[in-house]
Amino acid sequence: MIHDEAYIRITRKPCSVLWVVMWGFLWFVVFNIAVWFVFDRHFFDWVGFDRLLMQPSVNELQSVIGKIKNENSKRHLVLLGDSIVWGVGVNDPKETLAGQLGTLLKDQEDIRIVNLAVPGNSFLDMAAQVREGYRPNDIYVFFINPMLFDEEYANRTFDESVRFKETVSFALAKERGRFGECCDLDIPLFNFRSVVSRLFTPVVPVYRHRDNITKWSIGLPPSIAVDAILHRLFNVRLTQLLERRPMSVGEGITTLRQTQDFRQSRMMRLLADVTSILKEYPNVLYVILNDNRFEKNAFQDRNIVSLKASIHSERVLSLYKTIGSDLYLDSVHMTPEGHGKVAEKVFEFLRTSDAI
Amino acid sequence: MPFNSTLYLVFLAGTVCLYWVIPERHRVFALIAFGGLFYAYAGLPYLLLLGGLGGASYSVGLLIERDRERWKLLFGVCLLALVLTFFKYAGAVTELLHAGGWDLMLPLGISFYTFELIHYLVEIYRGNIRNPKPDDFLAFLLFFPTRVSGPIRRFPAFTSQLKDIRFKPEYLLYGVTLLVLGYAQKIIIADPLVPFTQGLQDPTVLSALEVLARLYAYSIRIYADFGGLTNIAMGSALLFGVLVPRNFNYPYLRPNISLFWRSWHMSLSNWVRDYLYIPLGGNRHGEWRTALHLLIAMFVIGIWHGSSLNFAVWGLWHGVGLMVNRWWRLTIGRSMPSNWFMYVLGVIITFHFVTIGWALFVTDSLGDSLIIFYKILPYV
Repeated sequence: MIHDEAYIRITRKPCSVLWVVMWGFLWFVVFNIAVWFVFDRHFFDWVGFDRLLMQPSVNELQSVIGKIKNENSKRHLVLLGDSIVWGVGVNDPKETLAGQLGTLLKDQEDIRIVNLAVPGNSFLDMAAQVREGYRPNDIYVFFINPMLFDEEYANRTFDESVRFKETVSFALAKERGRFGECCDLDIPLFNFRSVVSRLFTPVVPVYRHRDNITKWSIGLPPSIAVDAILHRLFNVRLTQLLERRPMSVGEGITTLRQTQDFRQSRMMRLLADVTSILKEYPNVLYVILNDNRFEKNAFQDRNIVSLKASIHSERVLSLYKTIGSDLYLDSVHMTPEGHGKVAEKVFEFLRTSDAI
Repeated sequence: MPFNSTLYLVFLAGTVCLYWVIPERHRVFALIAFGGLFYAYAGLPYLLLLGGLGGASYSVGLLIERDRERWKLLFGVCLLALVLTFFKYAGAVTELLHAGGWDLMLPLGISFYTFELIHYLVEIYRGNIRNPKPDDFLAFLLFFPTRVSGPIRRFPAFTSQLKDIRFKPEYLLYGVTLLVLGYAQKIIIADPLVPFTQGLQDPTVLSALEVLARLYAYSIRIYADFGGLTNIAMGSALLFGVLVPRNFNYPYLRPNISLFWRSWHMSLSNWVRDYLYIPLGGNRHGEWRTALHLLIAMFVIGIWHGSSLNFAVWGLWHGVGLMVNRWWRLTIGRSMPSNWFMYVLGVIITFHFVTIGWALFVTDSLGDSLIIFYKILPYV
């Protein structure tokens, strides 16, 4: 051992338990201050954000919603949806719907596009996200995937269908009874994790930015969805080695004939209730997406008409039959060109609706 | 292979694992091989230059050890100093002479390893290093954790640790802690301040308050940046069971500029003290000579950091600061009370002296530094 003031002294054991606790606490505070400084100030400009992780934690979602609420210098165009809007199958975030909308809106520097879509998002998740983050100047676009009305998805329980249970049970607590009556959905009143999350998210920056720190520190592009999940599950730090792999979109294209009448679908009732709640937020616009799974026949045409009629808003855009089969990667996820086409139509819709 | 890259972490993890599974007697050779790989990745010419200078220094060292003739030491030191001067200042000199300006890439870590090799030759001459083994010398030369950004090591302290390379859990604990701390300093504090402090490159467009705010930020950034890199180097070295000198010891909490320089970039300031200031005469030849020695030492520290004129002036700024501090300590300071208030006052004054001095460090030209001075003048 070298004993010289030019070298740090390495002791075999710390002095006491108190010593360890004190230093641990000190570093915890210092680290939290540093994280607050970096991630809570100029988050979008400094840290950068294009989309959430493919499997984000609730604190990642809440931290981005917090940033939207606190950034007064910009209006936000928030995209709510599931894996289609998130951009499964599209590696480069610039080629997703949000990215291509950004290109179309590049002259409007006061607008920031935030892709808040998450694969597996339900209508309840999206409604909760509006309620948590909404500011009168911001615009929310609520993307509706018609495949969700199929019986394969429509009859799932709360636990099976809702992505962010903590956020939903808090944000839609008032409407618990209503969703129970209409749709037999049992929104839990108390959720231990949601209480913990609500307590720690505002006061502990490291907790709030857990996923953001991960993404930022290892330079992980969120498009690398598989790696992102791997990282979150196993907390490994070698994900960067696996980068740049094309994203798998899963199953192939199978065209089916729709037999489910959407008017009988529980999901239709749920959507009607959700949109009725969101009537109090005037800047929420709706877009019904196309799909590549079901035949476009008279039966399905009538389903889409019913779907449109169930939405409690005048500002609804239907993209049914407007996106060709060649612009799909599988039964529902689009190619970058498909995203581009949707972006153009949404851009026009926003303009004609006087939203931008 | 910059420290803040995933590749470095993978390289470090791989080499550390390999290092501890191979037999103890081969670990010195592993250090040499890892260093060679690290340097070869940066560029084969760099490795050749390092090898060439190392080979020349080792040979000169053997010659010096044989009969301790002064001219051999001078030859070795001049050779190393010339090579460093060539790579560091040839571009600036040719540009100054309007001779086209050579665009030479500075070989990785040359400022650090030439100083280490000069130390090696001087200590052989002084008799403090005897019979250096070639494998120890190569491990010293190629030890990769300290090759990018120091600290400047000492041969005897390094090689004494190679005699007993056993796995020590406390080294692993401290090493990982220092790595985490270093990366936190670099990534969380220093890097986010870069865009803000870059505004100082063009101070003409900034208001006085903006310049001042950016100078404070730069003061924090440079400490977090360099301190972070040093912690990463120290942490990496500890993972190989080797303790390297530290560079910083809470420098911004020092109550005078003299103590600041004993805790800022300590491995460099100690080197300059041992191999320049004291050989020049130190403080043994009266106050005027001492002042001159201080100025020369700080001038060398200044030009060691960069080839433009503002680095030289930055060194002289600190040289003058040290002179004034010495005069103060020997005159008025003796009758001043020594209490916590004076200490805090001293810390504040020293911090601001250093922070204002960064104006000379941060810009590309002396002209821009003078604009910064002009802008903050109303606040001084």
